[in-house]
Amino acid sequence: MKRYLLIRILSLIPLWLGISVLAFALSNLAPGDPATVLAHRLSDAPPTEEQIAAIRGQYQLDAPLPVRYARWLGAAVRGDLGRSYRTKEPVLKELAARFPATLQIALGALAIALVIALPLGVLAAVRRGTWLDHTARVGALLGASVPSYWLGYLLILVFALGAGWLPVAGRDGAGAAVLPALTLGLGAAATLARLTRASLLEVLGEDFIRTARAKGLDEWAVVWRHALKGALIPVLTVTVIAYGHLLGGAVIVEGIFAWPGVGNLLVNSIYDRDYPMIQGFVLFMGMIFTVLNLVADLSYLWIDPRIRLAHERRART
Amino acid sequence: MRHRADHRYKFFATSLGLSLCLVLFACCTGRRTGTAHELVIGARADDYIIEPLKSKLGMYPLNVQICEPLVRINSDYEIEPLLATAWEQRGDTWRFFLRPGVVFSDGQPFTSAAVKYTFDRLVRGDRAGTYQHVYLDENSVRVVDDLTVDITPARPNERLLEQIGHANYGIVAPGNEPANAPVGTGPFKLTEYRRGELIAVERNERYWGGRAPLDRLTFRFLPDDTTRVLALQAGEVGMILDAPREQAAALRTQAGMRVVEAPVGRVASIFLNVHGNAPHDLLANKNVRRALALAINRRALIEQVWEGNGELVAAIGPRAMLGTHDALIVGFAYDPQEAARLLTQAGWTPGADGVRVQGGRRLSLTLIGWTEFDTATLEFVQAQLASIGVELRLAKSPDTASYQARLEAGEFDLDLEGPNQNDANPMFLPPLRFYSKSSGKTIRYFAPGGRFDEIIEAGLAATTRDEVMRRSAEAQRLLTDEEVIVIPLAGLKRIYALRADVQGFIPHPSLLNQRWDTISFER
Repeated sequence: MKRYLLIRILSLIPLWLGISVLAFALSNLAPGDPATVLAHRLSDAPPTEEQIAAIRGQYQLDAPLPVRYARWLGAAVRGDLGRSYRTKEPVLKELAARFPATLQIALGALAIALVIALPLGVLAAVRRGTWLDHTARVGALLGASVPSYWLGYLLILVFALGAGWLPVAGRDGAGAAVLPALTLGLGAAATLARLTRASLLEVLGEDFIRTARAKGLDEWAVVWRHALKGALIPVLTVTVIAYGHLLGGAVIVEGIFAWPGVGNLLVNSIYDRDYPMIQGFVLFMGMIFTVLNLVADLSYLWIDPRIRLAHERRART
Repeated sequence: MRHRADHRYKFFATSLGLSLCLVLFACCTGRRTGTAHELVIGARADDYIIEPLKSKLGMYPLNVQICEPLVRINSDYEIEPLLATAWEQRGDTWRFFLRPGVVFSDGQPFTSAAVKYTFDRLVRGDRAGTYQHVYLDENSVRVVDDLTVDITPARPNERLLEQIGHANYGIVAPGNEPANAPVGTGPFKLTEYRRGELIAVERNERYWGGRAPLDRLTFRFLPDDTTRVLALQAGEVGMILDAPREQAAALRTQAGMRVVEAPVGRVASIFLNVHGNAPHDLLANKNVRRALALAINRRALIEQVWEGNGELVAAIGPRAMLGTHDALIVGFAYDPQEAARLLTQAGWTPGADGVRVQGGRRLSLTLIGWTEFDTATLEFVQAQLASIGVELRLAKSPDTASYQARLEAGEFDLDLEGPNQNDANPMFLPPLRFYSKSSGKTIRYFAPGGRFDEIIEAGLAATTRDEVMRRSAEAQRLLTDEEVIVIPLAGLKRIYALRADVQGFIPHPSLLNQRWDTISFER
């Protein structure tokens, strides 16, 4: 078991290395030169080639790509993701300042998704084939299909403009996190509801459920105490992975709601070709995502004793 | 085992509960609402530079009137006294007489030492050559006495007075670094800045001029156009900058709302790559360029695409910059028949698919556009040129960096831009992109050289405003009517939407010179 854990944790290292290569390549191979962008930002008149070259030299952008990658990676390993071209602040400090805001709506979105998805999925499974099931499935399909920017505007129209309950944008104000979290969460709820339904239907068809029913247990106890426990295992795994998606999906939602999180930071950094910030963001989010994936995998071992025992047996032989 | 499993599910449920609590906690943070004497304004994205020595926080690109320059640019682009009450030119030196009795918002007296500190700071931070075109260096500013200061540019600069009304030259208190918190003499002082979220100012009670009617102004950065409009409609902000033109008509009809248009402060123009390398060398022929200019129906563009929010113009900048000389520029009438005739005369005949060809080469051009221009505008130009047999490939850039990369590499035939006129210098726009001795990597694609350069040099050296306006008009006539290097499409009007009770707002053609200290609420 410990060996398995160790292998899984060590396997993150090549994964992170791959992410670092992608992060570096994606930002550096995009059209547009950060030195030119910076020179234009800092100058009222169009900058000369000499001025651009000076900036390029200052930020060591004139070195070959592999050399720059090695320098960046070397520093990143020591916990230094560089400094933003735009603000001159350490990238890690910028990410740390903005990440709580993104975490806030992502956590809210997850809570909303689960609150909606679990009862909906269970109801759809228990009342399979009824109008309730069909409605839930159509709702889930809609939730998964609607683009978040459209949903965001719709929610603003209903809850901010129509009802006046919630603010339109920004992080100030009562309930400011609710609409961005709801926009993010509804999409995730659709996925989780469909999964809960499918998973529960599978478990409800198993022998131990038939036994439970034969023993005279009422349907409520069969579903909520026996079936749901088994059905939630894949749901929990997907939930952990979905959380990573929610963090990433915040990029669009933060733009709509002027939410001061890392998503907005990334968009501005891309516009400015702020390489250290883009690279730092991709690496940081990539690491979070891979760790969440690992947590999801390990949660199987933790929750399902059958899998844990199988691993232990394999380790003994 | 069952006991342990139950614990796991309880943990899961608890985590879920905690998440909900977190969201509820977030809901309980204090709400920022406008008070009776506070106006909240929805602005576009926060684009302030906050790097020390470079920072123009509160000044550029959104001037919230914390700092004031020596002179002010009024809405007719005329110079008015501000921190300097008078000035005179002695050879290459400009002498400014400063307003007495002015104090900074922190109580320091405003003297010529502050002017020297401000300009020296700008020069020290001039790594990228920001002040190159103003020609200031570390020896340029000399304190004569407390209220007199001499500015001698490193090389003669007749345009200095017209240039230093720009918000970049806002005077800061000696020792102040605006990256931390700008301290100026303006009608407002900074109270809060949250990067990417808001900048808030309150009335400077020590202000030398008239007392601002409002206690506080908060500029909230709402980059998304639709969100900005929705925030106005929901009453979260009392006014929005840069209301999207497609929503202006709806806002006009909404009860309790007003839409205000600023006079034209910039012109959407197509710049033609006349010195491009193959395949972008088709516009070397002047008849082809003239045909393009005649084929675009500008009135239809304004009415059908821009919903009336534009103005027919012939020049490349605001009319006010040319005085009485704007009549020198004739412009182009819409005449597709003549356009077709010119193309035929130039040897381009219609091919099988309607696109003109010559020697096996198609008359196919690439149009790039500054990011703010929407696809509808680009497609309109495309359709207009298609009607005379010109194929136009649209290369809309997703962001400024990729646009600049394409522009500087010369991978275009036509470039749609709308440069702002933010200072009072009539000789700002013509040399900016077309004077062969100007800085910038794109000059080589546009510069006509020869007589144009002579006009620019005469304009830069002109000693009267009328003379410089005349030279600017001559330069623009050469760029448009004569050489067809620029095709002006229409003057762009900045659109503001505000609550009906917001009074006293006088839109300036340049947002950078917009005054906020005239705004009040209707009683």
